[in-house]
Amino acid sequence: MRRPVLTYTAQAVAGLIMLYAALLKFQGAPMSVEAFSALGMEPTGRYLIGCLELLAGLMLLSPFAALGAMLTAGVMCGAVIAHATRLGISMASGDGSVPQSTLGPGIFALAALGLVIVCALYVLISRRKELPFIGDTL
Amino acid sequence: MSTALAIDLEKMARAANVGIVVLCGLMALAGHYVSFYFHFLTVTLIFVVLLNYYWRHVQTRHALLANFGWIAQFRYIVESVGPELRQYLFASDTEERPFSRVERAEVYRKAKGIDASEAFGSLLDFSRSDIKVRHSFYPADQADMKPFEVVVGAARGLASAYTIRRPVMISAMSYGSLGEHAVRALARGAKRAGIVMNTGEGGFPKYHLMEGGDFIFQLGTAKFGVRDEEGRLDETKLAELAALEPIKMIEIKFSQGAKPGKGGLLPKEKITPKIAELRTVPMGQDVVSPAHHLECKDAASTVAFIGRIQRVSGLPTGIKFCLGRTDELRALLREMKQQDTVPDFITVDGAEGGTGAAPKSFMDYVGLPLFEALPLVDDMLREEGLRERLVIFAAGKLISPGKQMQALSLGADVVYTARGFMLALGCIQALECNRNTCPVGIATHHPHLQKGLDIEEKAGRVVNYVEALCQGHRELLSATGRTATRDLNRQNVYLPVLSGTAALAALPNGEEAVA
Repeated sequence: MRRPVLTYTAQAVAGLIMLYAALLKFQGAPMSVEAFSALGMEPTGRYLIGCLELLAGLMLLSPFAALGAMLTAGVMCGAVIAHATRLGISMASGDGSVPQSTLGPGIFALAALGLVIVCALYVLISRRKELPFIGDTL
Repeated sequence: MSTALAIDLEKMARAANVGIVVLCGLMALAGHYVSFYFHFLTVTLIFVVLLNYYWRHVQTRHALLANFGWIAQFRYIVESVGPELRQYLFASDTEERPFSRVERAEVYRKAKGIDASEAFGSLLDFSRSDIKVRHSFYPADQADMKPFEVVVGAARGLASAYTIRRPVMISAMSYGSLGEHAVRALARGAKRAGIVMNTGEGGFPKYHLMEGGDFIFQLGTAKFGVRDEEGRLDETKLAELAALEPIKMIEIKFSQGAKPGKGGLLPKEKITPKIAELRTVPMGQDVVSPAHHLECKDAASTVAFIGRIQRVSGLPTGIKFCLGRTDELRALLREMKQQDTVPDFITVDGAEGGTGAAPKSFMDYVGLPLFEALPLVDDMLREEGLRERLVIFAAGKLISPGKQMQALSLGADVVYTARGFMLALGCIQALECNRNTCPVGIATHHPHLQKGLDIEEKAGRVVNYVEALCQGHRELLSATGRTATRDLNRQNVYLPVLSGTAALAALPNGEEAVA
């Protein structure tokens, strides 16, 4: 069965963003360190999430894309919870000192988060039959 | 329900469906107030809740999931391992089909060269009416036993007439249904044990020939290996194949026990370059195995076709069928006399089926069982005066010396077994021959599943099995008071008249000598 180009595009976009996000976590980018400190997960949680993002990114770019999309959706779901309950929108700017009104890396990061979620859900839905165990029932 | 501790599955399912939502909420609270790590569980449970919602309210294919939600998955999970659980734990030693644990254990022990005697009585149900071997007051001495010898093609005075020296042969299993390792282990074992092996209808027997030995080439209705583009016989290819030294006989398959009267289809997805080459079929399109040989439309053309194969191959040539209508067989035999073309052997296949994949209705409900067909064929050949001009091979669940002895007494000259040898190779009766997932690497082409099948080790098992079978034959033969297998006749078996079938009841029951 031929997959529409859109699915592959979504996989590539989500996969690359996830790999970049993983890189930031492992590098200990100030934005990440700050966010995970606020969540009380620094540094263990940062590396854990980084590993999951790396795995998800690789899977999205491999034949296990359906599972990768599910993992991505899960990690991103956690990110949404984090921003909604602890960090607020401002943290997305990566630097608490920058006022919310400033358009900068904050908007960019938020846009990336939204894009990953949309892409991952699209991949997950179009490839749902490939999921192990539950694929047959979907 | 009044019982105090009874489980109400419906209530349990309802509680489970509400439970995951509640649990998800609890985890969210814990994530907020205790540690953010709890949100790993929150997220997981959100997925489960969404999935459960989909199962219960959106999808319509699975009624159980729609009515009970995620807990219903346990039914599917447990059911999927049911066959294994039943075989390991719950099936009694004699109730499993096609072969019970008792029957399989006998073959395993023979193949491993372990003593196969038992104590404290038979596990079989003696109130059932089974065929039994009749022993004699006066057993023959082992020293008087004559060596087993059946010459195929002697009646036609063929220079290529073949002498079978052991009463057991490996029945038709193609490369295709079996993997490379299994084929080679069988061929190597057969060569060492000095028995004949049938190649099956899998085309050019490349892997069989790697090991040398003596083979019967089987010509199926699709004529794999010797077909032209339309699926008719290519005489040149057949002549070339028959000229190979290890090919000793040709068997034309008219029908097989698994699916008598039905053809097959080799889907294009399964045609690898290797299969295409060996079977001489094109890649990229489905190949039909017709239900009958294209050349054979009636008795006259069928006999002419047999004659043609005999002429082209120059080898002893026989036919294999699972008996259906006896009037047709009678007409065929008369036509043979008419044209003075008699096959050198006839293989009577029981209707039970082996490795071949077949629709259930064909496997279960079409064709005559071996022990009914065999005496009918034997009788009819005698009535038509053809019995001396050919030999009879019998196949169909003949995995133990006792069963084989019964077939030999009911008219067979030599017996075939396929599944007996599969068991000797280590078959655990997983019943997955048609799925390419054989866990012991016999009926599969996956390299990682075949890895466990060591050719040399299993060839030794094949040899042990053959030796133990022949030992069993000698002991049983002695008990019947005969000194040669060919002296066996229906006096040597007890045919229960209680059996519901008219055919069995009509057979002479020991009093009248048949030979």
